[in-house]
Amino acid sequence: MSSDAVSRAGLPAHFFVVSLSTGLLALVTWFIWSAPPVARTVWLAGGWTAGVLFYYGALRYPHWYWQTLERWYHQLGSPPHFYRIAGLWLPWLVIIATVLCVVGVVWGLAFAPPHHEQGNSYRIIYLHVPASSAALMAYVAMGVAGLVALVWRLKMAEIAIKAIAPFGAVMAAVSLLSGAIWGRPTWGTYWIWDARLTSMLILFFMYLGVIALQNAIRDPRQAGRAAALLSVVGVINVVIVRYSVDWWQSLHQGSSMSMFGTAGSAIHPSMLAPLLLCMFGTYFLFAVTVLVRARTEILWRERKSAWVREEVA
Amino acid sequence: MHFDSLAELWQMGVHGPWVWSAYGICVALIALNVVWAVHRGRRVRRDIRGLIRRQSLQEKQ
Repeated sequence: MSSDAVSRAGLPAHFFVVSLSTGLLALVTWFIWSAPPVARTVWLAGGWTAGVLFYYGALRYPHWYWQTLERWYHQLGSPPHFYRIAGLWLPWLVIIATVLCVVGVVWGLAFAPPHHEQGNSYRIIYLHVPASSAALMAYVAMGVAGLVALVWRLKMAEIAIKAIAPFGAVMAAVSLLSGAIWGRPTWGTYWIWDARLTSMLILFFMYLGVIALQNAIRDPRQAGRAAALLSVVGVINVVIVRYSVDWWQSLHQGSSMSMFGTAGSAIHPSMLAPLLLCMFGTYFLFAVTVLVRARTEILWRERKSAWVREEVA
Repeated sequence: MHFDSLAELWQMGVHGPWVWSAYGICVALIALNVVWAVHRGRRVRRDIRGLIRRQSLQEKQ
């Protein structure tokens, strides 16, 4: 089918993006949400319909999909395009991140019920769990960018690693600090050389290592490749952090949120809802800081080009 | 609200110091990270403007 025929069909790009993401989101929340079966079924049906519509679109207009993917690859891989698109998205991402984080934290601190054993000290999880998961997710994102940087030599992938590393380091630090402060009243100690805690500390040092490597090498392309290599190799530590509580005897509790377990999540919905808000809010915060840093890095690397001179003038 | 008063929210039973110090330190870290990123962006823009100005001065001379 020609692209001309597709454009006559008049389906906007947003339609497919929205239907795909809602379908995936519906499935994920269906697994971890312990609401009554009816509510979950209605939720899933809506998401599934969106997914089917997306699939139908992919079958009916494969060329359009392929062209869109290719266009995205070229646009996101080109620094001036990325700079412009990120600038358009940033205000919306800032609003979404702020609303989700503020509502989630206030809900978790003041409105969620207390824990039957830990009392109110458990409220630190609304900080600890989103930060930990963001620190792990950010390293995986850095690993993917590292692979792209090593295989395709894409300049934007190197910039992405540089933009992600500081956020990851801060989130790992938040995870360690909040965990330590929670550990004192709950375990009776701030720190223990335990598999989960130690591997998380190593993750923090890996982030510092990536940042240090970028600053130690003068040539940005060479520094980018070295950081990409460390990012790819370091992903193994993310796997160790994730499964440390299953592989070794650990003082740290196992996972309470399960996406694919038959029992679903072990957290009561009244505590889970604000936690999910905080987690999604942290992911949007990730997008905000990474886009801001990537834009800065693009400007500096392209400072001799005409478009940057027009942009800063 | 789960708590009856703001004072109770502040005390959180016996856990007030732990919860509020954790939130204080960590929220400050996260906010600093954002401020730092934005500040660096502004400084880089200013540096590039300086580069352009110096270059145009050299061209005039």
